[in-house]
Amino acid sequence: MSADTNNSNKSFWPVKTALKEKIVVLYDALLTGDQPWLENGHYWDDFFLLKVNSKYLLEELERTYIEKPSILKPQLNIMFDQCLLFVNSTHRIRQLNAYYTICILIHVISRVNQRNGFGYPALDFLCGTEGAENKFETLIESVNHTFLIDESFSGSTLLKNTAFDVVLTCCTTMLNINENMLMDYMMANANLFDSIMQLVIRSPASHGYDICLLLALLLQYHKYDTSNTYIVRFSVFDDEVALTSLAQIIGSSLNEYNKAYDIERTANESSSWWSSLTTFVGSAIQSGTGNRRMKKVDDCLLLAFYEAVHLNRNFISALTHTATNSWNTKGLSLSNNDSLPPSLPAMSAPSGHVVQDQMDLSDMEDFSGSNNLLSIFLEYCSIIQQFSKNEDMCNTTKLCYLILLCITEDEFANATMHDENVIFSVYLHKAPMRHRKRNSEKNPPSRPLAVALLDLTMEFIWSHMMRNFPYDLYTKCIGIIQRILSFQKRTRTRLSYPWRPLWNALITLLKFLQNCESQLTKHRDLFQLASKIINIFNLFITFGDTFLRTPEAYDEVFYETVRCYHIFDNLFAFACRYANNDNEYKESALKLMVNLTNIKLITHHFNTKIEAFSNSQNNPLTENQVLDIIRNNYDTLALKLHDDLDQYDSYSEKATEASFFANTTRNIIGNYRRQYTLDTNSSVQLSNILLNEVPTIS
Amino acid sequence: MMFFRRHVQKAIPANNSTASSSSIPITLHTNNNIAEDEHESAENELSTTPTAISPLEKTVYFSNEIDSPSLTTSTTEHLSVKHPGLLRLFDSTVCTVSMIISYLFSSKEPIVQQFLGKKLFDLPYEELDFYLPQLINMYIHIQSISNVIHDYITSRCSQSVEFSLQCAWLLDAYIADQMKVAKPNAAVRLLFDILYEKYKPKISYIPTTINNLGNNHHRLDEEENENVNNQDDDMKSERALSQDNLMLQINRKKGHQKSRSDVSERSLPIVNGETSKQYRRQARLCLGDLNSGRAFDNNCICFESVNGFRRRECTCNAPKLAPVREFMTALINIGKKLPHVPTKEKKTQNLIGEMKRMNMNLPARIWIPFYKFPHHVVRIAYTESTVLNSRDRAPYIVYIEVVLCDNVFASPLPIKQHESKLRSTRSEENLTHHINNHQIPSNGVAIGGYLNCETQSLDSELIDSYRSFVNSEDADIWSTSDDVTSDDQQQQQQQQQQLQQQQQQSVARRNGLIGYRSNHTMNINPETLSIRSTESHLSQQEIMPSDIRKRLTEVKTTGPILFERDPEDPSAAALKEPWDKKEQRIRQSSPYGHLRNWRLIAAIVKCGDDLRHELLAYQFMVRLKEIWLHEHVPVFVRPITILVLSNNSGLIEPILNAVSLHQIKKNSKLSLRNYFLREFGTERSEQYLTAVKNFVQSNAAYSIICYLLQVKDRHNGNILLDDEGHVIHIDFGYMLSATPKNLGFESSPFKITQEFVDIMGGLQSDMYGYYKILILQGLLAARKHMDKLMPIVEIMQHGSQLNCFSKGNVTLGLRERFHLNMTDEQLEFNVEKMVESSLNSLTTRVYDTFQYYTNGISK
Repeated sequence: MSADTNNSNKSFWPVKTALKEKIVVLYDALLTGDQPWLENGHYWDDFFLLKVNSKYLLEELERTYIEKPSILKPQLNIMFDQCLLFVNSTHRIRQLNAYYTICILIHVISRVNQRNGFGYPALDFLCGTEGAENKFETLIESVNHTFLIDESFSGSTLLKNTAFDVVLTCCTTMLNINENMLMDYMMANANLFDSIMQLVIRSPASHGYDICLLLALLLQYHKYDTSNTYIVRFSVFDDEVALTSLAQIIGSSLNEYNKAYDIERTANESSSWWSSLTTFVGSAIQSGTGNRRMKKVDDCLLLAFYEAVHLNRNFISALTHTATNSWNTKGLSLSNNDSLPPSLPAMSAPSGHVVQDQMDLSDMEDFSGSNNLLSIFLEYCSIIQQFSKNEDMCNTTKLCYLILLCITEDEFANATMHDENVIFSVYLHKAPMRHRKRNSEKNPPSRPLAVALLDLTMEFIWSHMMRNFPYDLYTKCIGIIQRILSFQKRTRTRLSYPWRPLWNALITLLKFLQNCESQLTKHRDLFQLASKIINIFNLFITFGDTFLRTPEAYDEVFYETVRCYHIFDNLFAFACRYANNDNEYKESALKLMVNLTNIKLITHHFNTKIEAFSNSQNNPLTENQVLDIIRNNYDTLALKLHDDLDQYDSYSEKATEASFFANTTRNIIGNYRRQYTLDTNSSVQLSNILLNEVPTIS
Repeated sequence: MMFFRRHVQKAIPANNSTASSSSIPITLHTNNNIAEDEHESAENELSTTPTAISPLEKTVYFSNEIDSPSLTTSTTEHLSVKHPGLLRLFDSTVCTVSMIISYLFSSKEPIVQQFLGKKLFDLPYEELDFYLPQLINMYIHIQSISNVIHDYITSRCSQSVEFSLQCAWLLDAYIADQMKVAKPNAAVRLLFDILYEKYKPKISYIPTTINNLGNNHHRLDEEENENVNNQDDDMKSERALSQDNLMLQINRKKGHQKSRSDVSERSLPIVNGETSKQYRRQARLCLGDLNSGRAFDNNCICFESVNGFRRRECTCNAPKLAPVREFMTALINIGKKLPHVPTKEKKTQNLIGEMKRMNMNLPARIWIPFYKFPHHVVRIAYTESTVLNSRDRAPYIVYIEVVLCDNVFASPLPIKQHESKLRSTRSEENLTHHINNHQIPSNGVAIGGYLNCETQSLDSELIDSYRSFVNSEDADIWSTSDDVTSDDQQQQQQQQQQLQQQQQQSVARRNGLIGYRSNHTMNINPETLSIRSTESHLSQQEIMPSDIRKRLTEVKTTGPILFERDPEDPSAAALKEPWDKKEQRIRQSSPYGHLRNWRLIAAIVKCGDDLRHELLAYQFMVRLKEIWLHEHVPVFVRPITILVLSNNSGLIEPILNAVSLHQIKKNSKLSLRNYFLREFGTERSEQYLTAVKNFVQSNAAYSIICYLLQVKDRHNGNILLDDEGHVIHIDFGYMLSATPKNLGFESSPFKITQEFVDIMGGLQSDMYGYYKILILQGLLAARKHMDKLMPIVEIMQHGSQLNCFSKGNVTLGLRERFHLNMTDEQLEFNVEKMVESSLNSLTTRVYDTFQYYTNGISK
């Protein structure tokens, strides 16, 4: 029998025939279509006791599938059944190997069926149509069970990792997640949700990434057109501990990225700074390779973050949860790729111990207080948005801004961001530009988070006026500003913020829009964007009394508008041109003209006064003189009240971003599958580690 | 010898004691002097024996003793023979707790001590608890007394958790110095016995209290269980019929109580009743682990009502003291970490983070011991907590939200409310309920089994809209407190939209939330009712920028006088904010604010400082206050409650609405007199005159206290001024023989500066004269009742290694300061002299200057 397989294998393993592993012999026996377990009563015991040779098994299965599928099917079915049996075994090695084998089986089936989709035929091939539902229920039950094993069990982390491999393999069989039939079984067995959330609490450090990935994928399945159990469960989930833990998983990964970026940046500051930046980002993206539990900030973490913010209102309060004593950031650097993600809350660390730890000088920097998810995220955004020329990064930036959009729509989040007691020092990275200095101040003063968010949007506005105009991102950016202002207006919150730079940025953006008319109007409705910007000015003009801190700030709004009157005039003329001809933008151009009414009135009113005054004087007017004129001439000015300045269409994913999320999901799955081929190699290593632990286990 | 044997024999059996008790005195009478000596030695034997007997037997022994009148009577009889006068005194109505304590301390005679040890049982708890520090100190340092009061302390411990806690903390604090020099003694043993709950503090819940406190409790109960009460009527009847359903409801309720199940969301129907029960049993004990979410939960479920029945007594072995002790430990640990954080600003940030983490573990069955009303801590208003001024240590103030209850152990805890939900929590519960409805028939099978009656598709939008639907119901319920009409409109609007498309529904959710919030703000700013938002619907109306600017100017000038936020002194702004405003503000933003019994309390957590001085000063001041009240001396003193947790940590009750003179001067940049004028109105206004009167009366009181106790370190950071003009001194770390760094500054009797006199109206004013008269009256009253004051200090001095007792004969010095030998006229002259010398004291000014340069505290 073995001789037979040897022959067939000669082309592949001509040299190694003599040295063949025992597991390979067992594989071969199986793949020829025989029933070796009839002869050998211990066949399956041996089969699962031996280390899985995933590479060989994968290749052989694939080859057999193509060459003689009729032989393979019954063998596969039996293998699958046996795997299910051994998955529930108490013998940990066999359990582990059974998990691996299932992974390989599902992966092979999904790979060969990639074109047809993972539907009934594929399922039938894998485990037979009869009782497939029950089989997968058993599988998910045992995965669940594995998830809930106590951490004190040695090897429990490895087992959980493989269990994750299994569910993740099930979730990623198809690039288009909606075509994946296995997801139905996931939906039916929603107990999985409970055990994931348990894991979030118990061991966020070792499984954080997997949890986020799994959660993100589960939430994407038939998002809009059928009931997804996990969406329901997740949106009403209210366990503060678990949500906080989830926030910390995401936060720690982002924080790590920020730190790595910072180290790289400072290291390269003296040398060719610009080139190193771009190479760094490239390398950061690939840095995960070769490491099973990789550290780089994957989109799946952001997607999980997004879903948490979007679906779960309770998550919002976890955003500003500061993990004070639990962040072990020591020994984290780019060179140190082998270390696990930063250890999250030291679950059982006695507090006395912690106190001692914090006496270290090296930990003192951690008292910066910026280690809460939202402030870390803002810094992360400031890094990512610098590179949004790159299409991939552009998508990530978009995801970031969607998250921010959701956050700014939440009342509680807004209240927290504006709370003067909740202040953080957020360092925002700024793209190097010729005409300005880089901010070298390492520890900016602590301020409410809304200030940092406004600074971030302002930075975005300044740094993205480019040929490849990111219209969509700009719309979101302006939307965020509008939401913040609406909140302030509604609740009469007077944030201490210097508004002038923001106005300048917006005015410059308006100017840029006019200048790039020829390139931009072809694709995008510039007037709509301009209208939104003008509305922000209208908000200041009409409702300044509700959210500005001082009357002087109100004068400054007028000063800035009057100072840049020609930009508004030109904009008006620009809109006029389109409004008068027949074209697709006619309507929005008309709307822009209406929105500009007040600004026209203001510039006209004050310019006449200023002119009259300056004619009587020889010297050019000083700023204070102009401000005086403005202050003295309010009485004679009447403005029009605009409707619904603080109303915005609340964000709706289905209406506008469905394809974006489908695409993001596809990328995440594709990414996972690409790495998966590598992972099967490392799975052997993992089982090796487990084998080393054998004496302690059984 | 005969007697000895008989006596011991008789003491143990309790039933035949009455007969023998009468015989003992007779034998005693007939005995000669030698017999009496023998008897004394026998008594000595007896009083020392308990320590020899094993602890368990000991309690039995003593409890017998307590029950039987025999020994009590016998000691009484002995006493009546030896000190008939004393016995009559103790039995008379003039005998006060203070006298008993002081006799207990001073009497060296075992019979008297033993008699007093028994006498303690008759005394009212509250009065005696005041002297608990003295009792504990005597227990530690005087063996003969520890023997006679041991049974009293243990029996009290077995009655009350609160008392056990107090004893444990005090023992811990006062043993600490001694442990270093001596091997563990009886006091250490007592401490550990209490900590390991050998005396099993009994917790019982007598249902009659419900009837007594009736309404209050029931309402609370209803509010807590809204989710059960607020369901549809048909659902109710259904529930009544179906037993299964009833069980499910109960389970669900349990699940939402957070404490039992690891994941509260577990109560969703997918997990049926059994599994959720199973999880309850599995709940791990995580005392002290702040990341567990159940750090202050001792897993006692004895009082949870099961099918409407409630047990009357706690029968489980859950640690009773641990939850509160863990809570205090957590607070102290944070305090220990803070000094390592570099700047004030970062300290406060760190503090807020830590408090938020604490919040994950709340509500819990814990309470803040110095607030005497029974309550549960439900939340810490974490954003309000702030670090106080102190150079090296980092004491901090925390604002704690509590809910009153009638029994801390038995009353149901409020259900955990999530921060972000504000008051609309029930949406989730109701959603659960609806899912419940549909899920029960198709348990476990369904994909898409949810909500199939309402709609075919379910996505995130729909969940949102679902919430908004529920929210609108909420609005209706809550509208009693808000503007009704606008809420109705809101609701109508929402319900109309409900009928429309999904997308608009999700808009409605946002609107609902927004509308809710804006109602809120309307409450805050009624005068600036948001006309704008209603106007904005009327198109093309004219607006005047001049009006807008005018309003903006008004906002700036008419705001309340508050201190600006200062990163270097974050507490100033927090403490200046009037308490009722703060309470209202926090209540509005708290998810528990709607509970009827909600209260805000505050506590200062201090570690690294020895609070035992403070405790002594507190006791002294409380007594003085009583004396002055009794003698009708109209002076004002505000003792600050102290909870000593160990020899270097504890909790202090903050003075509400008071800021330090330093903060006043720094923030207002005014002289004190001008500040008075600004705060209280013009010189002739009634408010101002009252404030000045208060200022004088409080200053007189504190002058006396500072003089008697020799309180030092009187810089402006340690003197507070409250919103009625009272001066309140804090920080009694340096008093009696202790001086700051022993520099010998501040030689004046007390602190009175020209600035203070200016407020009173100058040296020639009536008020200044009044001030001196008050001091005289106060001193005279104190002198008259000196017997009540001296024991407090004397007893604490015994065996103490506190700084304040380190040099010289402190009690003698204190006694001298009462000037017993002076006539009233002489004392008057003396007061005159003291005020004079204090006012002209160079050292006060030198010390203020010293503080200004070293600590930046304004002169």
